[in-house]
Amino acid sequence: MQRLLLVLALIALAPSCFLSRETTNVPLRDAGFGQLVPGTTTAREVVEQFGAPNEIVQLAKRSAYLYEFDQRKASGLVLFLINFINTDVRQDRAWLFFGEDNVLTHYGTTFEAEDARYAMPWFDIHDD
Amino acid sequence: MMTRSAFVAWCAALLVSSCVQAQFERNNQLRPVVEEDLLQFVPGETKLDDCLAVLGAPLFVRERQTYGAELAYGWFHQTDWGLSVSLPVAENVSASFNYDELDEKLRGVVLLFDEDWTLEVVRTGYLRDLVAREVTPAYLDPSDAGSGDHGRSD
Repeated sequence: MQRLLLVLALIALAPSCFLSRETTNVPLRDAGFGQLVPGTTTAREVVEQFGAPNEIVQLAKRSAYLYEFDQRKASGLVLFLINFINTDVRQDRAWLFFGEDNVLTHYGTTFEAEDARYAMPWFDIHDD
Repeated sequence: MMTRSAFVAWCAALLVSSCVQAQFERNNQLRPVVEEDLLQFVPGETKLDDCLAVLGAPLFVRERQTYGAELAYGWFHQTDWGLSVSLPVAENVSASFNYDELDEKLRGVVLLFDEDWTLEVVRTGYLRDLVAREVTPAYLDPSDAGSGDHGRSD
């Protein structure tokens, strides 16, 4: 009986860990958004280079295209009655703004998807 | 020497652990906007390029109700304890109650621009409050080729 209880206790208290990573779309950091030239680059050239955008927003007679890449990293420690879970989500985003003539007027980029980290929830992994 | 009652207690604990779980969770979603960055923006003067250079690409862009556009930056950071209880109430049916507070509470900043891409207003808070509802694209009159106005009254 004692041995059985010991085995039960070990099974119940033995920790298990997991790591998971999910991505959506493809990374943008090296896609070449730095080559865009406001006042010159057209929407057609953008689509030819980067493919179909993830979203197009109409802004009256103008428009804005969104390209994005998501990376989600989750890690956890699963114990008997308590779980510790950390989830970290970061994105690459590029918003391209076009005028009525479909020529690029402005663009903004954010490349942070690589910063997603695995960690336990008691660690503050970002300084933001 | 373990007694029979101790064995029963162990079994009960194992069964309870399958339907009651405490959870300590940290959820980091996206990088927050630094408040000092917003201080350099001057409504009526700052242009879209300046904002994009400082804050990067927004989370989403929408057409405003009246004119211009709004750019929203959002993030969600929370560290919290939670408790989940799952109670079987019938065969193949489980009533699950989740007491987690980790629902969608995206904090953020919304920048409102006029038609010339000049910043008009900076708002901070929960995005659900700052961006009240989805905006459908404005109707554009094909005969109105010269005007930037569009068919929506706010």
